[in-house]
Amino acid sequence: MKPLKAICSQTLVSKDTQAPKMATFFGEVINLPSRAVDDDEEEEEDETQSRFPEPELQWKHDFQKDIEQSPGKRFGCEMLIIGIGPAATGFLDAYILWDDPTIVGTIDCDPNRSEVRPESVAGHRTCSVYRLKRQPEVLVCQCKHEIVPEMCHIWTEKMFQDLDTTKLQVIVMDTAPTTEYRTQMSPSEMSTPFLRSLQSQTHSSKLQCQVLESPNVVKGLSAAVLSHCHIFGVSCVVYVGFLDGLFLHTDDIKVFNSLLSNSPLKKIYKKNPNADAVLRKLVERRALHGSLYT
Amino acid sequence: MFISAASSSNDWSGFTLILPAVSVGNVAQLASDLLISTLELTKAGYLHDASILPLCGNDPFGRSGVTEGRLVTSAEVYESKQRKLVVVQQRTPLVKGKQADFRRKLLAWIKDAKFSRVILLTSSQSHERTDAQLTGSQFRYLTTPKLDDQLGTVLSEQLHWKRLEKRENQWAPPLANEEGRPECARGIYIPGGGIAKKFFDDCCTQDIPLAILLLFCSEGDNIPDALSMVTHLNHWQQLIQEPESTQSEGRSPWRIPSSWSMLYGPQFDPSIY
Repeated sequence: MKPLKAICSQTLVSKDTQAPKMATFFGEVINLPSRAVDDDEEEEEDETQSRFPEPELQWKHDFQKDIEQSPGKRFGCEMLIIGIGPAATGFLDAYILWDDPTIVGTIDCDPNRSEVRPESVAGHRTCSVYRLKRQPEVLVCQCKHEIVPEMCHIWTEKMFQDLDTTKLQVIVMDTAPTTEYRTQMSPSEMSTPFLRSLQSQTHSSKLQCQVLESPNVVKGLSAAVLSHCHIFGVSCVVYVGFLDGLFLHTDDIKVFNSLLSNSPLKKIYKKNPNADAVLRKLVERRALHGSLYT
Repeated sequence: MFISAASSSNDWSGFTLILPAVSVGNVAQLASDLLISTLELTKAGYLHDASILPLCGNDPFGRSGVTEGRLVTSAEVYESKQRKLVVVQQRTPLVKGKQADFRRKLLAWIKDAKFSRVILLTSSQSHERTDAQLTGSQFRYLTTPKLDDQLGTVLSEQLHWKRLEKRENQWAPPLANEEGRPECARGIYIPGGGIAKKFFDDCCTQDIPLAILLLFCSEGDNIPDALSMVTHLNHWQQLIQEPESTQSEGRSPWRIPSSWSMLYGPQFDPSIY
């Protein structure tokens, strides 16, 4: 009879050890996955390969020319606004980008994209970079879908590689569910939606809301952009709107409204008479897509 | 990878570097937090690389008050010139597929900064213990031959620490991929220990004086494990004066950082009943 210890050691075998083998009915020997191998992150042969293709930045021809003609071949951008997720991008669409902006570049972030793809088939995970006609030194980047956290560092490096950051002021708008907000307050005491901010060391403008309280954190793209700016001395502020509810509501998008009446967005904000209609349309479209019965 | 926060030089020859491995129960990261908080270390710079997932937060050690907005990023380097100590805090896991890249850059930085000794804190899955490891102290250590030369028998004889047992059980299946490993690292098995095992291999090969401190644990409330880890480290490094056990009932000399509040979620809402 097989000793008990030998049986135990086979059931607890891990990635490092040889996986237990089993002969099937037809006689071939197959490797069995072990229950003991869970989230052990050690990788073997393929550990130098990244799981995702790098994000690809593509400037439009005219803007590329502008970059090349700029001193140091870096575009002298004064303000970069990055909207992440449906609420922030919807807000920028309705209040900042309604006035016919020019698209100057794209960042392709589709983790499943194939290498050969005609240029006309832009992936739906593509982020678009706009330039305001009335304020040409302002760039607005719209990221409508989540970018996988593994890609965010390289995304940020690519975004900033052609920008002169000496006068740059970066504003990131992001959202998070209130369920992720850590507080001793009971949910009934919280009035949602609400706004919190985090800033880089060199950011000196007045914040438009309370600072995000420890131990709350931001992750993903907004954290990557803020870290980059903080470490390299660029002025940056992240505004996070904490939203309640499963479906997007116009009030959720308006959580960012207080930013419009103050510097620096005040300088570039031009009243849009159709803003409410734009927001309503956006919310309706998302509600339709979000329904199981359409 | 390392970016200095100040313009001062970062020549750390003669310094000890303490690193956490993101491992089971986050024991090493919690221990790093305790060290930085208790010893009031100052920020020296950042580990900024595509291999570390991004994260930002606000003032984790609560020294300045929330309104000041002291930003914290995913991996930071803290130092004490007086104690000749550098402590890294890594707050997020590594990107899958980029661990090798991270280790390569980390080693390059360690050599570049001329650290005289490296201590890696980690933990290992308690359910993978061998019979001999089930009882007694759950703390183990490992040292590279280079550090053995420096220390002699300090850890084993003065501190009575147990060296991590090699997997040489005749009943256990042989460990895979042993051929490529340095002689001194063969048989070493740290499941759930993050980069620890491979980092040990690297340091053996590249002749770096490294000690790995390890605790067997499971996921859960791992604060006691972190306290046990820093206490062991303190026995060796003599970082703080620990009060006599008779006078200190219930009081820990380690300062818990403010960011640990609600570590396991906020209190429940009484209005639901």
